[in-house]
Amino acid sequence: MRITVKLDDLLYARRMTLTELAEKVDITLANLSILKTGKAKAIRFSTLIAICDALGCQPGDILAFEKD
Amino acid sequence: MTQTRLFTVTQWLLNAAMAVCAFGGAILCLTLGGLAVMGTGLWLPPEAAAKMAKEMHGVPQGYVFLIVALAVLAGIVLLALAILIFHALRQIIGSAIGGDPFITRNADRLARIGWLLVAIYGVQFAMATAMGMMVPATLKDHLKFDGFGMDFSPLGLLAILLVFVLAQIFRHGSEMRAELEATV
Repeated sequence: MRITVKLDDLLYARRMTLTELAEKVDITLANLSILKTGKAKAIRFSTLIAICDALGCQPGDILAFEKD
Repeated sequence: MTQTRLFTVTQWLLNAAMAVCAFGGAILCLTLGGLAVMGTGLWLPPEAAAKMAKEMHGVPQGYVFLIVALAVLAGIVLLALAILIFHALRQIIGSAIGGDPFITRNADRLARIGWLLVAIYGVQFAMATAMGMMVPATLKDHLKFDGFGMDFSPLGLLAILLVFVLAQIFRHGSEMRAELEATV
């Protein structure tokens, strides 16, 4: 069981790069990269709000639950 | 005194303590070597051997040397354990100076310090028991030495317990730290 991050798909759909998103949400590229590659152990609500605001989406569009 | 300066001073004191222990250990090693040679009676002049036999109330010279050698050996082991404790403590303080003390390695180091303290107690207990059994009563009376018993200090045992508790706290802290670092 795990949570997957669908940031790659969303960025592709919005034709946006990770660097652009990092600038928009004011989060370091390194941290966004950790989130994108699924290496993050937790995500703050403030980060989620900023990303949803920048990409115009819902938290459910970014995160998904996967059963093994 | 700033925190870093306190750490630096402590590290310096630990270095000094390690040097003193190493020096003491070297002296004891030389003493042990000397005892091993004298124990065979090779280097002890006959008049000295006779005087010693008289003073030791007939206890064989080799036996006396064996007891002293055992005490010296225990001293070497205790000093080596102390050096290992100081070394681990120095490494912990070094990581604190580096600004990142909450790491799993420090929890392991603290647990190691706890076990080394237990080992010190073990060696002391073994020595006290061995001495109590080996030293003849006549010699004990002659030396007026009754320090062959083990003195279990409640404070010492509490310190060992605290070190183990602290190790667990450090382990938990390092896990929390790792989780925080992976929080975006």
